[in-house]
Amino acid sequence: MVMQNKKRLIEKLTGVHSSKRSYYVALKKKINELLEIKRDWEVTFSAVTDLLVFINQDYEIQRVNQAAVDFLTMREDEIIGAKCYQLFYGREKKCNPCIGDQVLQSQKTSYLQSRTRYNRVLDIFVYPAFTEMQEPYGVTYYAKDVTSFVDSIKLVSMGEMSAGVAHELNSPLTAIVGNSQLLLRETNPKDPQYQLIKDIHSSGLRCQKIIKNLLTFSRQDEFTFDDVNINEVIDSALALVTYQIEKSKITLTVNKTAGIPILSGSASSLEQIIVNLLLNAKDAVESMLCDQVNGARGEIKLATRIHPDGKLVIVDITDNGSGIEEEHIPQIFNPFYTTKKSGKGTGLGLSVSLGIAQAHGGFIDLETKAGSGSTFSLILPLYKNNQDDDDYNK
Amino acid sequence: MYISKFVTPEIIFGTGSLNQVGECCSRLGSSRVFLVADRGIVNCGWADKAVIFLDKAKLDYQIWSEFSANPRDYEVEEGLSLYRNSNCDAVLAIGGGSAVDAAKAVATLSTNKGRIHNYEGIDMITEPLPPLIVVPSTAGSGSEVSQFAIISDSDRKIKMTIISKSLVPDIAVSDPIILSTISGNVTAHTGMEALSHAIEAYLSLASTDMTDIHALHAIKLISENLRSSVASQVDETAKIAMAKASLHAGIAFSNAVLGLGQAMTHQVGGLLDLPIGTISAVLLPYVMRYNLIACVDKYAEIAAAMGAQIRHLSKREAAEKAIGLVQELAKDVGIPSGLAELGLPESSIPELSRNTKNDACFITNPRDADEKDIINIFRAALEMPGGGS
Ligand SMILES: Nc1ncnc2c1ncn2[C@@H]1O[C@H](COP(=O)(O)OP(=O)(O)O)[C@@H](O)[C@H]1O
Ligand SMILES: [Mg+2]
Repeated sequence: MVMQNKKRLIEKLTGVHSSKRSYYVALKKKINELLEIKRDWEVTFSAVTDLLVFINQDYEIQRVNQAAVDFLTMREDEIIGAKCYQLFYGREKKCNPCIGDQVLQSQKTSYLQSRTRYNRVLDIFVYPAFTEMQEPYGVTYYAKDVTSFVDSIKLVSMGEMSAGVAHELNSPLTAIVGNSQLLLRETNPKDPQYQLIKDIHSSGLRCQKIIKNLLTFSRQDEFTFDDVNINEVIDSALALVTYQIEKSKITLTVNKTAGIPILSGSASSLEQIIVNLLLNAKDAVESMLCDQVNGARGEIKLATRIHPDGKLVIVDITDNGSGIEEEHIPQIFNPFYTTKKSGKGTGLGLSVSLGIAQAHGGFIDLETKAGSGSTFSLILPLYKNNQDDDDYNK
Repeated sequence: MYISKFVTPEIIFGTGSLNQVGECCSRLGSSRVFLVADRGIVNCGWADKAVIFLDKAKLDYQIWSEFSANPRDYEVEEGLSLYRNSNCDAVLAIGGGSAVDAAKAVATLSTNKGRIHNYEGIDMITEPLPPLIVVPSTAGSGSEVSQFAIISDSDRKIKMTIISKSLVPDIAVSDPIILSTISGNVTAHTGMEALSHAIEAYLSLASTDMTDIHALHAIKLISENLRSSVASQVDETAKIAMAKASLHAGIAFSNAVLGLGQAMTHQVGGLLDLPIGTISAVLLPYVMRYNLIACVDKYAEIAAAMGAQIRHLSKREAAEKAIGLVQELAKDVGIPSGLAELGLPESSIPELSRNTKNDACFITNPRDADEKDIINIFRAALEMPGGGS
């Protein structure tokens, strides 16, 4: 008994039954933990029906969820490591501009609607990803396939139908507006019918406005491209709206960069974009001024600049108006989306503007903070070398 | 016959081998090294020297020296926060037993939760330690190869012994050059510590042929070289021999464990802030006298290893010679001959004796002992200077 006991004690002391703790065991445990975490996330991500794609700084796709695999109709191992512009746009070279580059540079989330391969339209949110050392190492794309919505409303029916309908409506409307105008002149304002006729007249004007927009919309791909000096385009846009803006007691500051190269495009369409953006800014500022009793001074700034890489011209239109709630940002470019009183907004301004910008190989960027203002930036390529260098829009 | 086991770390030995530390750390996967070096070592410039080799291997480092000669629990915890805050991933200790023990404790706590007290005893460490590389600066503690660490419990005022295979360093780098900056006094008590280790390991119930070879060789090297090593800081031959002796003694006792002498030493060490080597050297002859009847043959071998002519002696006479030779060596290198000289109060003996029985090292002592036996040994060591033979 004593012998046994002693033997046991000594074996324990000399460590017959114990070994140096091995990292292999610890490692195996850790690996299993990590695999579990990985599996949990994979299950989570594959349950998400929108596309999730992580892309490194060399534009190589690193991770995709099931929705992205389905969207691309390829095997996952064919996707991983491939270039994003190749798979999503069928390009040989990176997009110009590349929203991933921009997001990494600005370190801010960005949004873009873009037509990708197979004629799919994606609402894309792009988030920068940083290491613990705050060094950028890639971007995460969260994308919603909105093709059916955009196609059915915006491109197919809108494009084909609206032109016809608009023309059909135009002549009866001319009669309505013209004749009601005549009647107004001949009616005594005190006459009970005067107000009724006035309503007919203003409703007719509103219809004409909508139709004008619809016509632009359907003509998107029929622009004739000329040499355009963007500063001249701005001057003629300002000639149209400066009065309205200043009447509303809003300070308008214009800061044009001299020497911007000529670009190729449709001056009248581009002018329409600027006018739209300026009027939106005015509306946004006015809605703020109404809200505030001791109204702060409204301000709109317009500036042109050339992107540091020299390939883009940017027109920034900044206001200190209402700004846009984050959850509404994806919608504002949709046709007929408006937050304005009925009679005031048509909800077509931005969607038409974006359509024009895209037809020029450009796009409209947006930075906004609800309650403090927005900057809409019209971004246009200066040189159009070949089709592949276009914007995301094909 | 017991089932036995024999463990050693990788051992790198040689004059100038300090230049291996950088490579060793990076080979073990480190990128930022926690360099544990006591103040003496830093002052002698050995830490700077090591840093040169870390730099060469492109390794970052953090130096830590804030621990006492008998490292305390709270000091080790301070070391741990420094280790954590500086994001280190390996421990390199350069120094005597205290630096190595402190380093082992920090390494333990870096991966094992809670306080160091949780790991007192045998095989309590459950998680693997970061890479641990040890460069001994004294020839004595043997902790560069051992599975032991001793840390002071500041509340209970005792020394905690932590025994675990995980405490065996990954690599021991022994460079005899470093011994040349150690004073004669320290050389003496660390050398005697190595001798106690070798003798007790040799006599241990857990000794095996493998440990015996190392133990006897260490005894021989020490009795031949300790005097000259104490005498001169620049006697290179003596330093090389003592560095080897420390390794051999360490390998022997780490695998065979020790005995009553070490168990008693731990108790006195908890009470008096004295070098372990001095205490164990003072106690050794008295413990040897007590243990003699358990293994007369082995005592005779010790005497032979220490250079005695035993051919014409009886086993018993030869065994007695071993005790005499140990005492003579201790005296020559200036070790006090009794506990009274160390200032141990007589009144502490009963409690020290009781605690001795609970010390892990006591298990392998070749002769059984009860509390009264231990009290008698303490008394002998206290009252009778020179009391061995
Ligand atoms: N500068 C701006 N500041 C705040 N909100 C804006 C701004 N520009 C556009 N918006 C929002 O986007 C919506 C859509 O704009 P738009 O397509 O031009 O249609 P509309 O101006 O007819 O409402 C607006 O109703 C408004 O809510
Ligand atoms: Mg508008």
